[in-house]
Amino acid sequence: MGSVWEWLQFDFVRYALIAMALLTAFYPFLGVFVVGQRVAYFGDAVAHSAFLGAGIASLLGWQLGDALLLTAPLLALLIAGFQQRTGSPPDTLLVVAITLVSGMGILLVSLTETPLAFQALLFGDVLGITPVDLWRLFGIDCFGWALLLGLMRPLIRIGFHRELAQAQGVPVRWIETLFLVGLAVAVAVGVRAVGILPISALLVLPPAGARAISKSFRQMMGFSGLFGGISLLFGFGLALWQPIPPGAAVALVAGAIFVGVALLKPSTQGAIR
Amino acid sequence: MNPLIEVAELWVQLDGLPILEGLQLRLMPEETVALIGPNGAGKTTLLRVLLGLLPYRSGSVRILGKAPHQLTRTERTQIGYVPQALQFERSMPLLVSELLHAMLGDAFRKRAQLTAVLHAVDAVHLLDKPVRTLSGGEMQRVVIAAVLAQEPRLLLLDEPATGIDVGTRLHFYELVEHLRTTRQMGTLIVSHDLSIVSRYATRVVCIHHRLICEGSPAEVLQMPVLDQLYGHPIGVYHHHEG
Repeated sequence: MGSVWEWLQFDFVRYALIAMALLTAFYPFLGVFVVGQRVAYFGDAVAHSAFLGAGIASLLGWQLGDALLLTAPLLALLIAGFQQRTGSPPDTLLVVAITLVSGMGILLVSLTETPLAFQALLFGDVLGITPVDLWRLFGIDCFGWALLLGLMRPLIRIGFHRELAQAQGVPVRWIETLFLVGLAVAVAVGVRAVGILPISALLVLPPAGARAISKSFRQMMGFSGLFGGISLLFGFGLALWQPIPPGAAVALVAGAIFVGVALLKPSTQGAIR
Repeated sequence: MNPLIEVAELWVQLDGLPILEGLQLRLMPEETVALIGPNGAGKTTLLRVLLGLLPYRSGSVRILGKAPHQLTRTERTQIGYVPQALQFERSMPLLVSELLHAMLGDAFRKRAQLTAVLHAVDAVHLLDKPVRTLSGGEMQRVVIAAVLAQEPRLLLLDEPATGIDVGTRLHFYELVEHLRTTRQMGTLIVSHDLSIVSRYATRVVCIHHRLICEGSPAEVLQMPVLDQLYGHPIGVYHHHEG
């Protein structure tokens, strides 16, 4: 393995590092709200719309990134609308959504007889990131933070007591739908850059670990950003050192941090409260 | 003076089952009305209809002079709603100060303001505590403090003092009584605590899907119909101030 300086001579390594920084700057913080609103599985379902995106892309000859920007928010709106209309349990609805979008995507790909790079879709291709991907990530960071700062207070209120927030005039359905569509766009851009697995991991594992050891919301945001950054940095380092997909390495490091935090946290079992 | 709540011939169904059948209710400023009735009588359903959280089949509902769904956001802040204590989400790490700031907005950004908000319910010591470590009673006090800070014209309380110790409960109702007389605030309380009802309510309304009886606490709490509704004799224990 060469020195860091030698690695940095390569465009793909520099792009990958910038992508890491852009991902760290937003996704673990977005994850705090994903966990707070109990929509972790929703993010996963939307990430799986990548299969449908890939199917549409191969059928119409589109770029995968463009197709994802269509399928992910559309799926988010469909899930939110269906849930509000039917009152179906969210977990059931999400399994239905994952099954349908994965199945439809694979069907479309098989119709066009174009080979689908499943590994790239699942684990991403961090080393194949282009400047266009970087601009998209930068855009989603700016747009996403603006959305989060605007929705932060109502989302905290909805998470604390949905009905109380609604009674006090918070437009709960609009806020939730806006958040889900924003989340879907962020997931679409992230999946295009680094794959389904690391995006799902970044959105859930750092905030879940942070929640276990934080006393305040501010602390949770801080720890989540820290855990997300460490996951990306060490995961990427691992991928440079050993021939494993960077996306899988990032997910593994994020998982290891979560398990470590959960095990090291003082147990409250049996305590009198 | 215009009524704060005016309900006429209200019919509500849930999953095809009638919950409220032609209910009438009126609440004027400076009134504290206790809504009593056995479990499943439709008390919480009525609160949810008043708040615009539940549609109704027929009848007329006016709150602050408007149908619930016509209330603006500003008008909604004039209605203080306190739900039952057990329903609050506690899994997120959140300090009481952070929760209050989220609920009350930038007008209450300063620590001294938040301290004053909690002082009203004798809970200043909770300001820096994580929400998830609060007992049910402490949580209820925080929510009540946030509601009162917005100086509502109308309070809707759903079993507000469940889980709160007797001293704090009396302190809370004394505060409601103070706001009633000084600010002409109207309050609708759903409560099973008949001792509180007899002491602080200006009027008691008993429902069981429809209006059963209403009147002053002394009149209503002695009516034989209550014994039949609750299935056993109703006695009122009076709390003594320490």
